[in-house]
Amino acid sequence: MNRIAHLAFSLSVAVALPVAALAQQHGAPPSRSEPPSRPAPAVRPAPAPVVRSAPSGANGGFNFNHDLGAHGGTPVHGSQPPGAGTTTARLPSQRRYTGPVVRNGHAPGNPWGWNHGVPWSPAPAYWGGGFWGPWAFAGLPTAVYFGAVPEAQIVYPSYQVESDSPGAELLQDYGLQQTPCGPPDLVVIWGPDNSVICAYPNNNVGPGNYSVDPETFSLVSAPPP
Amino acid sequence: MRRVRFTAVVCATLAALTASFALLPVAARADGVMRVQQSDGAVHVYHDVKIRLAGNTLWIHSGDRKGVLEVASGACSFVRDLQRCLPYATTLHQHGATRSIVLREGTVYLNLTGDVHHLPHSSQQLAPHALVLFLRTMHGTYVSVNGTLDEVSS
Repeated sequence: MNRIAHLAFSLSVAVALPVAALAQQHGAPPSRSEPPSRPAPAVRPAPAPVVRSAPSGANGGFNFNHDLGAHGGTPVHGSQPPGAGTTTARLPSQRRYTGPVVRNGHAPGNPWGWNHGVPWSPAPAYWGGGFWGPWAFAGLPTAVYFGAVPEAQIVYPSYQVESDSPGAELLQDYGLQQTPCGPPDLVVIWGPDNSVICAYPNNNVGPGNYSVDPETFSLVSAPPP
Repeated sequence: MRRVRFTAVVCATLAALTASFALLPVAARADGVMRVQQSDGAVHVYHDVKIRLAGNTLWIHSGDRKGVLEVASGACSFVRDLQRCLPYATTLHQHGATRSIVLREGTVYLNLTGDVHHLPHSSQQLAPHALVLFLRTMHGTYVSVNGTLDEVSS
């Protein structure tokens, strides 16, 4: 039995030592056998050498000198220190109707059930907060324009819904097919951040204005005039 | 007697493997790789970055612990088993200063499960507790991050 115990101990040491060594190699502080001021290793592209000004990351850290510019980028005041917590998205400006709810028969009954129970919040800088797809405002010229809805002297543009987006899932749940906004008698769905898309009416959803309740993943119709 | 000895050897082997795997999480720490390609074509690759997820915000620490890139995301939804979020704000904490980097667009895929999953419309797989992040800044800098989440907090 002693031999077995000895064998077990030897085997443990034999297996654990290289792994521990590897762990030390990966987890070691930056001062391991190299000066701390050394910049990160650079991979140079094959074409002609790029003439570079002294990177801002020359004393370590990351090099974003092009984005930070001569003035060192936009200072952030009142920011949390690294690791202090999370950054909170701004509150969504969402149209909420109070008419009859057209129940989503495919969405789970629990709150945010359609999103694995995780509350969904809009991402600023994206059309519709990203509900209809990853269409950043800066990249909207590349998105497919899908008509517009004029209302109270404001024209709300619409874009094609991305197939993997929550908005596409919502349309699928109701059996709706998106169509460019503009013609009358369409289903007009107002999403987060005053985004709007349109669809052909069907047996489940009649023509008219609707808002999205993101928590229950259902459509709420506009109250009758 | 032979069966007892066999069982003892199996137990010993399992004990050895358990001892080695107990050290593996340490070995897997800070294995992230961040690639920054600026508009002039210059590319910097940073190894051993540490990746922390706090709520919907990613904190990416450089291997030398001198810089931290904070990436705030929203619109987190699920594409099958992977969580996809849209980054909307990036802040660099470095050399005692905090500077914002204006983003154009980006996407982050997180595998918060214990299984390997394919990225949508891609043959690339995402390991358990791993992420891929792609950013494009207003100045034309492309940033990608690959790695395993070192810390997750709500």
